[in-house]
Amino acid sequence: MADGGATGGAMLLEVQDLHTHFHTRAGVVKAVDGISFDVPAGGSLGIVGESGSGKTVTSLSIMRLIEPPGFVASGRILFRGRDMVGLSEREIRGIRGNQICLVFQDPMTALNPVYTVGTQVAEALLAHQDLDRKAVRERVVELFRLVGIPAPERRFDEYPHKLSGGMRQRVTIAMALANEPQLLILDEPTTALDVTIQAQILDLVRELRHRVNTAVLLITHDIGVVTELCEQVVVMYGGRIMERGSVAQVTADPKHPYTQGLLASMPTRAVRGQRLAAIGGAVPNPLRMPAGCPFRPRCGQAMNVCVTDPGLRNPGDGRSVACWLY
Amino acid sequence: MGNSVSEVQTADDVLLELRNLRTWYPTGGGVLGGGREWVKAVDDVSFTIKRGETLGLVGESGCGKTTLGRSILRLEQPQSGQVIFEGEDVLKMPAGRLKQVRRNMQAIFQDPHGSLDPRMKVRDLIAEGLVVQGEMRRDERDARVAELIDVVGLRREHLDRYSHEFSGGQRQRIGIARALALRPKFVLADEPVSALDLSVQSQVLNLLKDLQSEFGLTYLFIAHDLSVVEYISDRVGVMYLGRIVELASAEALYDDPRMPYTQALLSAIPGNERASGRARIILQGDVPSPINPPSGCPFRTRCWLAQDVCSELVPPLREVKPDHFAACHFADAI
Repeated sequence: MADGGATGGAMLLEVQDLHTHFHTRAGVVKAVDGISFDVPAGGSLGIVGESGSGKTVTSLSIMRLIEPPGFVASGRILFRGRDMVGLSEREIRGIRGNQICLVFQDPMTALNPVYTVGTQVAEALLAHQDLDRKAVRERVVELFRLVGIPAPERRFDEYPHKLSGGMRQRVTIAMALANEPQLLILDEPTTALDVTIQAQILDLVRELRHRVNTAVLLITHDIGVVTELCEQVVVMYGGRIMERGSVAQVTADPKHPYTQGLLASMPTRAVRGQRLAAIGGAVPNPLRMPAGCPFRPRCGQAMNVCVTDPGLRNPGDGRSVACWLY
Repeated sequence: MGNSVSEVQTADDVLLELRNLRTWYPTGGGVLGGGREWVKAVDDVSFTIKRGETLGLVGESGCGKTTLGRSILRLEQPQSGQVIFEGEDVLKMPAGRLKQVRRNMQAIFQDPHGSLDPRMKVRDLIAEGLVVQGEMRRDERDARVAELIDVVGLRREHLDRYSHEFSGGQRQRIGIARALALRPKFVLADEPVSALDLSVQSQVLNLLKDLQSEFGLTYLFIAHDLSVVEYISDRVGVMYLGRIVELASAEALYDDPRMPYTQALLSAIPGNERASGRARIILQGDVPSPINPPSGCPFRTRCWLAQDVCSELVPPLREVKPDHFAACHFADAI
């Protein structure tokens, strides 16, 4: 879909050389190891990666939700030009849940089981806005209607456990949208949902983007979901960015051997009856990351030079690839 | 087999046949059973699986696909119907016979964490079935275990480790070696790759295919991932609220689905709209409760084609094209 809000080139979010580390008894884990990307106002970026790639730590770093033993070791996270890394907890609270909102995979991590869903969305509103009781209730019902919850007046007084997984995720999206954020971070928003419910939620997010022009940062393991929602994509592996470009470019003509391997691993009808082009081996131990390119030990095209970090290189079509082949 | 009471006639190339299988669970109700309701997890399911074939089974959570798989192995007790394995009804077998037959019917589950005892070494995990069946000498067992660890692509030094020392993909390989220890003919694979990352998932799918051709295995492959099922299966069944609503070759089912639910399911695969050129169908609402499923067609409450007849008559699973079965009153018109 076209990203109308990207005009003027103003960047809503700029992540610059972010390093997020974790102290463990066995040593320092570099969960995010020097990544940079931008999200324009009203734009949409997907971060794709497998477990341990650092994609969720990236989203938590942006939300300033990294807790000890984790810490942002270096880098800048500019939101509307302001560096979030240096802000005080009070200043962050003015942004989090207001201008930037996060939706998790499991809606029950965001919902309190002992309060009604209406109360919880109302609380999100009241944290940042001054409204009287009646106005709050009206606004919550309106939000429930916006995210497609049937009989919203009645749902206000329901407890989370009474709702299905898809309905709960709609409630957390309503909560995230309560203050009309400029950036919505969706971390595996549909992974726990069935495919027909996933289609409903993705459809909802698409529609909301048109209506309220919120920028979306989507974190997922499923490149199919990225093609549904995003213009741009970042492929992560071992805490680094392997490839960055438009979704159309990357899915049609992947450049990095990891992206190529990932797309070739997808079981599709075209490869029925044939063996899948599996990537050999497994993700390296985060405490013993190989020198240079983290994908080197599993890469069929590894060369001597790959023991040194290739950095992000430009193959000449506007995208960035972290590979010495380019 | 002799003249056992459980003997039933089936076609020669059929390994497993289900006839009108029903697995219902009681729920609620008083101590005297008054007002008791039933969860109709599996409701009147019939199909056959041929020797060497992979039958895929797809459906969303709560559709009954896992209960169906467990009912076949008699890990659940069905209410009625028949599970005929090589001409014998598994549900009517006495315990001794069931134990003998189970060596030919093994299972691989989704969560290799939950199904592998953390206090047992890999060697003992793989050998457990052999020990239970108890007909091999120690050295024969060791030889079989060593062979299995090679077959599933792990190394012999792994045999003396514990399962928690392995990655998800490696643990699933251990689970597969365990299932194959008794050289079964039939393997139930219930979401065997759902917990794995894509790059590891493809390794395990390749392994399952290799093992099938090497050992002539027959699979019932249960998964919610429609692309995985299309890739691995010869034929595919779609379940909804305890019933099979469509059953056909993988090709026919994915190219020309005849049941509206299947159409919606396939159109919902992310990225598929562009790939297939077919318009996305967004279903309204959630799956109804299996305690009080809708009258008539179970899908009618979400179906955009529903007519009066759909609430009055349960559409039978009927052959709409050669070897293509669909449970819809309008399957011919779609």
